[in-house]
Amino acid sequence: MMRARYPSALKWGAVLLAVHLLVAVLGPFLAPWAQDQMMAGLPIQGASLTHPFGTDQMGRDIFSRTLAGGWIVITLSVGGTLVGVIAGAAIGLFSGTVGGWIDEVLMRLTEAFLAIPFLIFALLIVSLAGPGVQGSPVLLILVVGAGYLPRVARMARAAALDVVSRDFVLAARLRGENAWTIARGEVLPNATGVLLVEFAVRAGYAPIVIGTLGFLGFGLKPPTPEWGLMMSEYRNLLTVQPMAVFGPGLMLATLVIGLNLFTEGLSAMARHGRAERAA
Amino acid sequence: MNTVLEVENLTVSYAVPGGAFTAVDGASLQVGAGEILGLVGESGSGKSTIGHTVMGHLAPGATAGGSVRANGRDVLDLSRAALQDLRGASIGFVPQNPTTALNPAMRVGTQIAEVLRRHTGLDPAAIRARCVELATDVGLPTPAALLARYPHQLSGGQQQRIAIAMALACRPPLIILDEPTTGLDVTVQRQIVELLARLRDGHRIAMLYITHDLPLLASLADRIAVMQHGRIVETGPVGDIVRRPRAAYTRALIAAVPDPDSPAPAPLHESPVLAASGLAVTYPAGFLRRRPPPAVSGVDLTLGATETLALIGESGSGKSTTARAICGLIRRSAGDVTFDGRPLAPALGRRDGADLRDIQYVFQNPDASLNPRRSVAEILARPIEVFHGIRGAAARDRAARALADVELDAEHLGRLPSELSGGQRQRVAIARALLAEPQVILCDEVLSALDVSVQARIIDLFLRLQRERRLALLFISHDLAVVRRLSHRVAVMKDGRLVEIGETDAIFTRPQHPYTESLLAAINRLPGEDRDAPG
Repeated sequence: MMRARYPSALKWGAVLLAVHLLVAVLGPFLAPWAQDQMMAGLPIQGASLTHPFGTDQMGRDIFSRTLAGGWIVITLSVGGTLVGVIAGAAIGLFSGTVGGWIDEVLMRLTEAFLAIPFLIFALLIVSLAGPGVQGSPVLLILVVGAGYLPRVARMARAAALDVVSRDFVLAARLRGENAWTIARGEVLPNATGVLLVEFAVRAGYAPIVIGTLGFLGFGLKPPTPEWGLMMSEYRNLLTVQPMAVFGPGLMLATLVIGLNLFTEGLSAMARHGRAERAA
Repeated sequence: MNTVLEVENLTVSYAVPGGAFTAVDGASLQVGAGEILGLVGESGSGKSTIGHTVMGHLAPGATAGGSVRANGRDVLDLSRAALQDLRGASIGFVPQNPTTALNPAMRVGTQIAEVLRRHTGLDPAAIRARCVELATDVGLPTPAALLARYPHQLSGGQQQRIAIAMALACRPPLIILDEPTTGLDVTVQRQIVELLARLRDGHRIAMLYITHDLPLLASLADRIAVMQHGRIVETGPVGDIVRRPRAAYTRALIAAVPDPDSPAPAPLHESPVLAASGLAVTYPAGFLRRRPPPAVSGVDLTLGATETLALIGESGSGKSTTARAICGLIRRSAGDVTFDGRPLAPALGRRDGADLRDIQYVFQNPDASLNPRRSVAEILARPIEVFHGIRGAAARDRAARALADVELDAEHLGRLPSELSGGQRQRVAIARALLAEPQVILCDEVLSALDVSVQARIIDLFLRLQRERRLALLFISHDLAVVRRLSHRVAVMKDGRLVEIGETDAIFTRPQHPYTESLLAAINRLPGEDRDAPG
């Protein structure tokens, strides 16, 4: 007997994500205009059939620009989260496995970084990076990654502490293996569940970080059709044609909601699976 | 004799992917007032499922057929509320592990009183009086003081007495005991068994005693039911079951029980390969805490090149700590350990590859000592790579040969530990130790997580390996019958010190230390024509 056992959060999250992925991949081809084509219509027009979100100060079609922004936001979010989770997991698993004063030092360092609010931390890095690299997507990925690193490291360390007292880790120590080998060979395979959830949770908030930085002018540079940046550029048009701001905002919101629903569904399923195994 | 519990043609099955798994298959048994029925079987035989079903507890997804009549009422027909009245009031339950069954945040006296409050109309003063009476009944000294304690302030034996007192609280005519003494020290086990016998005779309580320990039942139960694969293969009075077993399975079960009275292997008088002298381990003092007494101190022992030295003693006596200090897993605080004449550093990080290779450690529980996310091939590849620098196909060949050594097939290479039985897992752990090509293996209670029939085969495996390779074994165990079968010499530990060391037969027949005597007195023996036990 087959029961439907996927939580509805997971289903709705998956639907939203699928739509976003489709838009990200196909959007640039489906768009009625090229996103950077100036004078696709008269400047600053309200919503119409030819320009559903209207046109901006340079006559670019805002709907086409919104569609083109999807893959940028998704790539940056996933890239930044990947950097944060991989680096954080490496440091956290190593720290938890090695123990002693090295662990103490590493964890105090993560605490020091956690004491700085994420946004201020991000602004700090961007301004320190200097004008040469400001606005580069790689910098943005590193900023998101660096912001997530200490948070992921603490979770990974907790997961490692759960594993290091088990006998198979003692067996590895008796073979003379060092902490790094043990962290990679024995601890990591038992922490993948935690790290996957961690990745999903962090990825769910990355678009907000990228959008916020873009909105504040610390993200990508114009004329990139990144949603946060667009909302910032068009906020003067809000009274003339609200869709210029609401369109990208709606896309950003649905992406974040979709990611979070999906994550929540995943962890609900993991809990359910654990409960079932325990029974 | 009036029957208190009558189980008739009970079948319990679980829905599993692709069908149903039958845990109990047409089991029937009766327990009369003042009788202890022992239900014996190996893990997975369905004995605990019967115990839980009698309590009216079925796992989610399980269905039961047949009938279970306790005190004249059919348990399987009762509503949830009626079951709650039944449990505690007319059927008591003693779980295997009192540490998890007792609420750690509640005084034990309150926990007993809770049962009385739920099921009787007694006023608080009467409940208090009854609690003290129960504590006295289960043999707790100074009951009033002990009842005011929290579970962690009691010893394992005292916790189990509290659990028995809770089961007895409402004077139920029937008690179900699920492995109540497993995990307790032998001398404590003996006391609990004597307590149960007294309760049966004094209060005429019917007991269903579920265990895997046949010798223990032989000294306690009136009748025994033997279970295999969910069926009861044989029921009868204790004497008939152990002396004239009819079912082939019962015969196999009895044959697998090692005899504590058969002579041990003859002593070898070899020159030692491993020697420890003045070994001591002290854990550091904590913040604002005084330095604890040493876990181990002044331990001197030697191990011949092909000798088995058994290390016995109760839990907390320092057996494992001694073995771990020898292999370097725990840093010793004083003393010397030499291997083949060369000194071994206290810290693991200071030992070289040869030191690590020559002394291997096999852990008690293979569930914990094998990485659940690694296949058998990956687990076995580690010592081959680390100690011999061999990888790839050559390593796989070696791993397959090592599996053959421990009587497993090469097809097991691709499996995960969870896809193996407990005995197979312990064989993989032994193969991992052998792959280092060690001269000494430290075995820490390696048999205690295994069924008797599996234990017997692993013992034979150790004996064969020791014959074929030159292997010295330090064998930590609480099972004295196994110790006598395997070891040339025995060392007895108590409170972190070695109280006696000598040749096995001498220790068993002429113990010098009173503590050794008390350990030996607690051995449960199977009565029989060919193995007439003294006493």
